[in-house]
Amino acid sequence: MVNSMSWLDRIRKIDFTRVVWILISALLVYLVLTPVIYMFYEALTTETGKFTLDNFVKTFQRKRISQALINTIVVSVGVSVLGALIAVPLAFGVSRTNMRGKALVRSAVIVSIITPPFLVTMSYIILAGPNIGYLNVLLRKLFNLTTDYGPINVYTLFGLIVLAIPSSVAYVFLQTAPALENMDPSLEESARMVGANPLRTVLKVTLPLVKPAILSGMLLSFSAQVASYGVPHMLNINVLTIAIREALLMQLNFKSAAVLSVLVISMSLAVLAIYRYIIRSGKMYQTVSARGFRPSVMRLGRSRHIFTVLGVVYSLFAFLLPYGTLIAVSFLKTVGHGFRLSNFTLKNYVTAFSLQLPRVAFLNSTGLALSTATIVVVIAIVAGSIIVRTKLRGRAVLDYLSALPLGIAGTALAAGLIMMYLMPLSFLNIYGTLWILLIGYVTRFLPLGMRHCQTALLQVAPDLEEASRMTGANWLTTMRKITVPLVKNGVLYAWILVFVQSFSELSVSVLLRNVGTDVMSTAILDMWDGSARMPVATAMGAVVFLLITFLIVLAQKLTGRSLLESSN
Amino acid sequence: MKKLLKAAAALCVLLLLSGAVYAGELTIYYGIGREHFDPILDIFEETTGIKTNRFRAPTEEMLTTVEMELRAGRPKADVIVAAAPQIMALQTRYEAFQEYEPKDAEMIIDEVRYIHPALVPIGMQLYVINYNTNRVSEEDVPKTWLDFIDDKFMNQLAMADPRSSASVHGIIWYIADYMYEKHGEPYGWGYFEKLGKLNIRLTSGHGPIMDLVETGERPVAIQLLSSTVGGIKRGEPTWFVFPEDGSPVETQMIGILKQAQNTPEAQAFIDFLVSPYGQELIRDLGNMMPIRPDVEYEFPDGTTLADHTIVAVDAEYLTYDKRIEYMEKFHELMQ
Repeated sequence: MVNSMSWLDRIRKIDFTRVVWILISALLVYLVLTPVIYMFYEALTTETGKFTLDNFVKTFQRKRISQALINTIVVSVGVSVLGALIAVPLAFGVSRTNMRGKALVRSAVIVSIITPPFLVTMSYIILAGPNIGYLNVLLRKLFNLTTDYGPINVYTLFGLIVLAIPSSVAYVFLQTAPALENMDPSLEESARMVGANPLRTVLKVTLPLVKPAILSGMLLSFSAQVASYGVPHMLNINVLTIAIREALLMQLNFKSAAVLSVLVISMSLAVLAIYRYIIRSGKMYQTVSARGFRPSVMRLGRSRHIFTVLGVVYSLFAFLLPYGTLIAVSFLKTVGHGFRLSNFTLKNYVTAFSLQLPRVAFLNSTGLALSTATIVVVIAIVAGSIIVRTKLRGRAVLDYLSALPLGIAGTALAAGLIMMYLMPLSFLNIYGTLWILLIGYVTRFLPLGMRHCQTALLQVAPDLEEASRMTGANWLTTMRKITVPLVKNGVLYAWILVFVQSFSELSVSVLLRNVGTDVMSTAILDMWDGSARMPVATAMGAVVFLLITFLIVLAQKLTGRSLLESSN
Repeated sequence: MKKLLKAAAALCVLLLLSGAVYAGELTIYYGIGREHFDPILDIFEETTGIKTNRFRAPTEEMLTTVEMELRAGRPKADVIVAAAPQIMALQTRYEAFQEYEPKDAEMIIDEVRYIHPALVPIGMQLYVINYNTNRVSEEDVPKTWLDFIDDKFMNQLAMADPRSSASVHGIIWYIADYMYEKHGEPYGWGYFEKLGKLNIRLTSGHGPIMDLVETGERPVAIQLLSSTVGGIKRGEPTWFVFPEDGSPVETQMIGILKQAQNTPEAQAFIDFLVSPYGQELIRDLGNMMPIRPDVEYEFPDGTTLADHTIVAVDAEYLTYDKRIEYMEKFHELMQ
C-alpha cells in the first residue's frame, strides 16, 4: 500500500507540461527536420557517403538548371514587387477610404489566397492563349490589331508573373490592411495640422508607418512564389520546383534533386528569417497600441473612384473572370465550337464523377484533409498552449520547428520524403501509400494551424486556466475542460482552413502520388494534361472551387472569423 | 454462447470461401492516356472480376517511378504498359520482366510478335499531322513532314516533349535518323532546330495536344493517330493527314514484372488484351491498331495500312542512352 502510494505520488509529481513538450518536440523534429537533414546529407555526399560539393557543381553546370534559378528569382521578385504595387493602394482604399466595393475586394483577396492557383491558370490558358484566347481576340478587335498572335501570351515568364499576382496581392493586402486599420491616427492628424495635403500625408506619414507590414507581405509572397509548382507546370516554365520534379521523376537523379531542394529551402528560409526579423523590429517601432482607437475613414470625393476602379479591376481579374470562365467552359460539349447555346451540356460533370480516377481522388482528398486538419489542430493547440501559456524553457523550439515548413517548398519536402522512405526508412513501407501523403500534408500545413490556433489562444485571457490549476486540475484537465472550450471557434476556423488547403494540395501530392493515391489536384492536372478533355477537367476544377468557397463561407458563419480579421 | 461461436465460425468460413472465389487484384502502371485505356480496364474488371489498381503518368515519368521502386527493391506494379523502346530499355537495365507467352500468341502479326520474348505487343500507334479544320484551310494543310516546317506555321505548332513523352521518341528517330539517312537534309536534327525557331509548343504528352488543336490555340501538331480519333468522334473541328513521306508506327507492349504479386491475374490480363475481344477494345476504345490480323481495322478516313507509307520504329536502336541523347539534343536545339 505504501509502495503504491509512492508510485502514485511519483506520477503526480511528473511535470506533464514537460513530458508533452518532449513528445511534441520529438514529433516536430521527425516531421519537419528529418526530411530536411536527409536532403542536406544527400546533397553533400557521394554515393559512398563521403562529403563532397561536386553535386552542386554538376547540377549548376547544366544550363537548364541555371536558367531555372534565374527564372525563379526573376518571377519571385517580379511577383512580389507588382503585387505590392497593387496591394498597397488597394489595402489603403479598403481600410481608409470611402471607396465602393470593399466587400468584393475582400472576397477576391480571400479567394486568391485560399483557392489553388492552378484553377486560375486553367482559365487564363483559355482566356490569354496567344492564338485564340478570348482576351486576345477582344484586344485585337478593340485596337484593330492586324496580328493573329497575342498581344498577350500567357505561356511566358511575364505570363507566370501576371498569374501569380492575385495571390501576391492577397499576401501583401493581408499584412498591410490590418496595419492601416489599427494605426495611431495622431501622427497623420499632426501632419494635416501643419498643412500637409492628404496625398502628402499618406506618402510621408502613413506609408512609412506601415512599411514593415508591406515588406512582410512582399517577403511572404516571394517565399510562396519560390515554392510555387502548379502554375509553372501548366505553363511549362522552367523554374526550380519544376527542376526538382524533373531531376527526381524524369532523370532519377537523387543528388541533383537534393541539391535543388536544398537551394529552394535555403532561399525561402533566408527570406522568412528576414520576415521574422522585420516583424520583431516592427514591434519596436509599432504605432499600434491598446488604446482602442481606429483611424478615421477619409471621405474622398470623386477621387475615391480611383480606388473603386482598382478594386473592381483586381476582383475581375483575380476572381470573377477566371472562375466565371472555368465554370462556363465546364458546360461545353466541344471546346472547338465555343460558347453557343447548342454547345452546352451538363454531361462533363456526370463524366467527371463517373470515372474511377476522380472518385478515388475525391475519397483520398477528403480522407487526407479530414486527417490532416485534425492532426494539425491537435498538435497546434497543444504546442500553442505550451508556447503561449507556459514559461517552460525551450518552448520557443516548438515555435521555430512549427514555423519552419513555411520555408520548405512542397516539392522539396516531397523529394525529401521520397528519398527518406525509399532508402533509410524503407522498412516502414509507407512509400506509395496515403500515409506518406499524410505526413507531407501535416508537415506542410502545420504553420497554418499553429498561426490560427495561437491567435485563438492569445485572444483568451489566461485567468480561467490559472483558476483551474489553482483548484488542483492538472495541465491535461485544464486543457480539456477550460482551454479547448474557450478557443473552440478559433480552432474550428483553423481546422476548416487546414481542411480546405489540404483538399486541394498539389505540390507535395504531385511527387508522392502512386497507385490508388491520386488526390483531387493531381487528378485535375492529369485530366487537364490529356487523360480527359478540357471541359471535364474544368468541371472538376469548378467543383473544387465551389466546395472550397462554400467551406470558407461556412467557416466564417460558424465562427464569426475571417482571414482578414485574423491577420489583425 | 455456443450458438454465437458457431455463427462466428460459419461467418469466418464463408469469408474465407468468398476470399477464395474472389479473383484477386492487379496493379497496372501505364503511360497511355486514361481516356483510351481506362474504359478497357473497366471492361476487364467487369469481365473477369479482377480489381485493377492503376497508376498512370507520362511514360518517361511512369518508368522512372518503376525504376525508383526497382532500385529500392519494392516494385508495386504487376504489369507495365509502355511503348516498345522504353519498356525494352527497362528490361535491358534491370531484367525486370518474366517471360510469358499469351494463349493467342500465334495470332500476333510477325512484325511485332518477336520484338522481345518477355514483352507482349498489345496495339500499334501511328504518327500523323493533326490540324484544326476551322483554323487551317484545305490548301494550307501540310501534306508532308517538310510542309510542317513552313514559315507560315510560326506560333501555330505543337508536339510532345521527349522528356516526359515516350512515344515522341519514335518520330524524333524517324526524322532525325531514319529519313536523314535516306534523304539527307532538311531531315535530320536541323528539322527540330527549325521547329524551335517556329516556336513550337511542347506538351507533357499527346493528351494536351488534343485540346490545343481542338481549341485552335495550336492548330497544327505532330500527333498520334489514336489521340486524334477521340476528337473526331466527339465532333470537334479536327482532322489529320498521313504525311506522304511516311508515318512511323510504334508498338505498345506489356510485361509482367518478375516480382509481381499477382502473376496469374497479370497473365489473365495479357490473355484478355491479346484475345479477339480485347483487340476489338484496343481498336474501338483505345483507338489503336490491333496486333491481330483477324481483327479488322480501317483508318477513320476509310483507308487501310496498304494505302500509306508506314515505317516501324526501330525499338532496339532507341536504347536508354540513345533516348537520353535525344532528349538533350532536342532541348539544346529548342533553346
